[in-house]
Amino acid sequence: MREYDIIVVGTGHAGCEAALASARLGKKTLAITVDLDNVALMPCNPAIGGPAKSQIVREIDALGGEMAKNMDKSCIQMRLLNTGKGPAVQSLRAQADKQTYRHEMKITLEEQENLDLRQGIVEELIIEDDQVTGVKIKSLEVFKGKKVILATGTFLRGKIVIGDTSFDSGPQNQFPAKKLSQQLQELGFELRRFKTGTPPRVDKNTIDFSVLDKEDKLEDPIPLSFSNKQINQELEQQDCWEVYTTDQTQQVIKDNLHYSPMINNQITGEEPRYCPSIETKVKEFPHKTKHKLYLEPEGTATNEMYLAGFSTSLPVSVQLKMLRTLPGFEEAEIVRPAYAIEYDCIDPTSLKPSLETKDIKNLYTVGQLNGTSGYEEAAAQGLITGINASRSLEDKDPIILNRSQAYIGVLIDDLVTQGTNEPYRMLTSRAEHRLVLRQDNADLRLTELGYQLGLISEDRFNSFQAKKEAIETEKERLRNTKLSPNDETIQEHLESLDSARITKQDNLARLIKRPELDYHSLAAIDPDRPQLPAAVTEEVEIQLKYEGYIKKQLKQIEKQKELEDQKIPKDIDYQELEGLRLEAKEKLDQIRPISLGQASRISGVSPADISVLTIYLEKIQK
Amino acid sequence: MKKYDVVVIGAGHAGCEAALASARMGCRTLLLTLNLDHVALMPCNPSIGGPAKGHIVREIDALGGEMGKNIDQSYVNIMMLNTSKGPAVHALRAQADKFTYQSTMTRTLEAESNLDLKQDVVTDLLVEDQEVKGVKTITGMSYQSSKVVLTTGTSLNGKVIIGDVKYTGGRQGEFAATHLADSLREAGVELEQFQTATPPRVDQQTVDFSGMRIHPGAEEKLQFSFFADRAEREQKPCYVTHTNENTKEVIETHIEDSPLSTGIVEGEGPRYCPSIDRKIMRFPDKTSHQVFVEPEGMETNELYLNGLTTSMPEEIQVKIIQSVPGLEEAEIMRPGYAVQYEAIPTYQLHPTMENKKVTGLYTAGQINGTSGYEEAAAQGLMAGINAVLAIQEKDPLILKRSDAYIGVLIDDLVNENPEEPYRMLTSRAEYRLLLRQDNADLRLSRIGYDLGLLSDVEYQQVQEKDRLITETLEYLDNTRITPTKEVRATLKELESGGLKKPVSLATILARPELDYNDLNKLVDDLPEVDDTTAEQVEIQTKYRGYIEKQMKQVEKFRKMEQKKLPEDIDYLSLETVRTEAREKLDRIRPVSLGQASRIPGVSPADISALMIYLETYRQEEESE
Repeated sequence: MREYDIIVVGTGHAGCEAALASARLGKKTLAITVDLDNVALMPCNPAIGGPAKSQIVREIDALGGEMAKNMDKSCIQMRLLNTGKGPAVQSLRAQADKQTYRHEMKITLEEQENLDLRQGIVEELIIEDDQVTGVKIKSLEVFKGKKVILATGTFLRGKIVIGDTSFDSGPQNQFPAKKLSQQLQELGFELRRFKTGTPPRVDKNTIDFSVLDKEDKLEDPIPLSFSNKQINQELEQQDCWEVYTTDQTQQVIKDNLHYSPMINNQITGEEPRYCPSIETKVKEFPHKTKHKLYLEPEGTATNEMYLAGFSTSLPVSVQLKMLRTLPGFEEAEIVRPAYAIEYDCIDPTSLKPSLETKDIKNLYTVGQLNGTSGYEEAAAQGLITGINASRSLEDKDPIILNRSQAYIGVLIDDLVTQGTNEPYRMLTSRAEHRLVLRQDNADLRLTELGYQLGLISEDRFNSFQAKKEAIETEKERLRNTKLSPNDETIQEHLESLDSARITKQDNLARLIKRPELDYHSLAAIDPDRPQLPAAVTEEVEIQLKYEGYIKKQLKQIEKQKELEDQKIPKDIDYQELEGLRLEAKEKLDQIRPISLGQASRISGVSPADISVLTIYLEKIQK
Repeated sequence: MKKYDVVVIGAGHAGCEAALASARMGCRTLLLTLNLDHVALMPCNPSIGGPAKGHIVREIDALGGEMGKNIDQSYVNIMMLNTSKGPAVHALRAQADKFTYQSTMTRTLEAESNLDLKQDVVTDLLVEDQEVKGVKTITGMSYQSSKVVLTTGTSLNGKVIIGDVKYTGGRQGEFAATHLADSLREAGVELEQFQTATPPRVDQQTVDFSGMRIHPGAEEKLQFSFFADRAEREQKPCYVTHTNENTKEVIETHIEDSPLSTGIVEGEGPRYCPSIDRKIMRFPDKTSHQVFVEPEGMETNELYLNGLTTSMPEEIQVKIIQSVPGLEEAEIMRPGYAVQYEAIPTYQLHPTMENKKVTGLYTAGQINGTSGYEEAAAQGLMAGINAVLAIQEKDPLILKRSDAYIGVLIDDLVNENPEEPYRMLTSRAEYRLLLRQDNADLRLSRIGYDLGLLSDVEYQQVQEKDRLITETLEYLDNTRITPTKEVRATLKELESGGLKKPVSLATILARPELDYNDLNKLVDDLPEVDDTTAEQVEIQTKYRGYIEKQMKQVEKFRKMEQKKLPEDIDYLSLETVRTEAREKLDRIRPVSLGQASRIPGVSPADISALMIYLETYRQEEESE
């Protein structure tokens, strides 16, 4: 029997990160997958990043994960979103060549030392005394593992639903996993049924592009990984297109709504609110006559195109009718039909913040199995779990990122504290400290931690430190570059930029704060300006421009930190705690928060309950 | 309901060729596959070609098929096998980068204008009055078509087996087609069980190659296709190691776990690709069997252990592998497994690949009980072509045994239902001196061109080559060499024998030790030709006697082939024919006397009786 430190079940986006992190941390790791030809498959949209998600991708990168690097190898189009808004919500969104993405990730896994990759269908967890000790695969082979990470995506009792037909299946007609689901239930996990869907893929050759609007794309794509200077230059950059639904689309959908498994209750699972099907959109917003769709290439060497926003589980014949009401799609042919997929997932409040399950020791769960949606959310959980499982083997404390430290912190805290009743997707609005959780500063926030963990190389850490130093030096220099109101060149330059003249001695750092000015527009009056990389000047500008807001947010964080630092003992007996409301007792007992901060975020726990808890904690500390 | 001329089910090697041929011949074609990420997947060995199979690939190419062109763009190792033997058995073989092979074929399919590619699972064949009307899919879609080509590989009622575990699946991790099997039965198609198996894949980083023989791949540029000139590709070596006494011991110790003992796998396995358990048990005195260690791609670490096919429990697979020198530490990435599936006994097929019971239904590949990507692709191509020819109300394309290995393959299939997965071998071809891999273009490209599958440019290239060969051969026949002192000295210098009387240059070239360019030393006006032409001239000169003899046999046989047998002949009432032969003839219903003569169980005496009957039949027809 083979023995491993860590066994990762599934090689989707969560499984890949978990396996790589664990192997890179020196743990003998096994990654098992149903089909080795489908490693890092993107069964839904061909894109990575976007609001809140690109922040996560960059955080993964700063912590030594793989997603950003792999995306840079397979990027075929990139956009910078929300450029009209503040830097907190700006985000990069990259289109992937799906085939290259899969292939590159598989090679990375194969090349990774300490990591064995193998094909097999896991059907059973080996459990001894409430702890997992290994897995058994369909062909009855047993692998011993000190830790097991489940990254099974939508495979658990997966069921594809299209119109009134349904069949057992994982994503894109792969084998579903039925037995594992049953066992999890027997082990006491409360399984819930979630639903997600994917739009049809359309044959590029059957679309009339002349009536579609091309989206703007970055001529010079920005790498997602902080360690890359540029993206893979071998892939030709592609275009994405904008499409709008029409009155006819609306009509076809309305006429056929009774076929929708969501509406005739053939599907009972919860649908992702932020990624609804087109029929849900039509039903919920009956007065909206137009819905925006995006037509995206699935790769450089394929004619398949993804129609974002058009996810549906209506019958294929209706799908075709709907599709052909779109301008430019009059002759469109479907290559892969849209479908909904229902699957089992666990209640994430049954997890510790380390993502280990509370009831079964050494068992961790990640990704869609935890009720999240999205490749990035999955990858983030995978990475953290790989790290925490490895650290646990060394008797080290788990890494628990704060909500003020990373979106990943927000993600996991939300999951284990609040749970989720629908597929959870990350949004910038979920992060209360989003001005400090930017995509541009993810390296500043997390590289040091990645380095301490052993996932960031010495070289990369050195160049990170150089960058950090360059930012500080430049900020200092700008502060010290005094400007006199008597200097007419300065005043003229300001006027030329429609900016007010300075009335007293000022400095460049202060001028950058003016909304109409930025770092680059001040070059003319900054003769001593050194040549600096764009990543440095961008950071300098953001930090100076938003200094006031950032400081305010940091203060709030500091205040909140007191609560976060107040740890709650593991063995606390809430039932005995007098003064707590009954609901709070139950909730606290269920979630078992690690800190007062976490406790305060549990729904059903009131500020009054928190003060009772605070007093109790103070008492026992004395 | 959407209407197509031809619907192809399955996008493996047979399905790809069928769909491309049909679309290229101008028919609206639909190709349905259950997983678009697995188009042209190579689920077993990572190679294309080899003895007899390399011949088939070149024949496919000459007819305008895609396999040769596709492997030329995706190989990681290529070599010409058997070069020390005669030209009939020279064989080109390439290792594919599986990933590139798939993506290149996917791109080709997508670029084809008359072809729609769709992901869906076909559940029903729509049949009315024994005629195909279309197909229905699991998503509830129906597609109307009068021609359906079924290329379902191992997925018809497929079951995957490892050790004593057996589950429904077309292959590891893929759906089986259970509904479709029922639908075929309902239409009256008979099915039978077959099986095949694949060896484990291991991690290259855990293999010690130092003691293994290395096959680096050819130094000279080689390619399968006669047409598109492709850039040479970077190569990666293959290795050879051997099983030993320890392997034998492991298998003997655990033989009760082998499907040979447990009987868990139903159906016959491929004789020419046996599992290691079967090899050890069948040849108890042989202590060592070759194991070819082959890369599955340029970048991947997965290695294919050719020769170690097994579906024993995984722990025993590990023991078997680790008993082999160089593999002591090898880690399995994908275990070996067997797959059991349903195939169509091929006596139910016309030589066009159309089903006799269901008009418009064509089958190709493993569903017809064959084994091998090349055999599948060849049938796919022929099924696609014949489906289109039927729509166009043209005569079908039936290749003769003297035309092509593809002719041998299909003739064998329809005359004698294989009892095990059928693999092509050079020994199956009686005219193998004519059916060489080097002359497939000369043999077949005219047909490919007439069908519209080869372009003008491609066909002109072959015509030009043909013209050059003919002219050069004429020159050699007409140029005489007299035994002058100089000539004799030159021959001696070329380490060739003396010369007593004047002979043609052709006679000189027939000498085994001389090649075409040596003739430059004997004459001044030798036509300058490229290497492939020189090769053809050499082969046709050196083997002239044998070739002519074989052509005479072909000619003799052609008369038999031309004697067509009426479709309505009532074999069961032919009293002069033996009972066994009557039954066989009735079941196969051969198209010609030639075909009848190859049906096992039909004796020469039966054939003469049949000939006599034909004569009277014809006279009766004429008198009517």
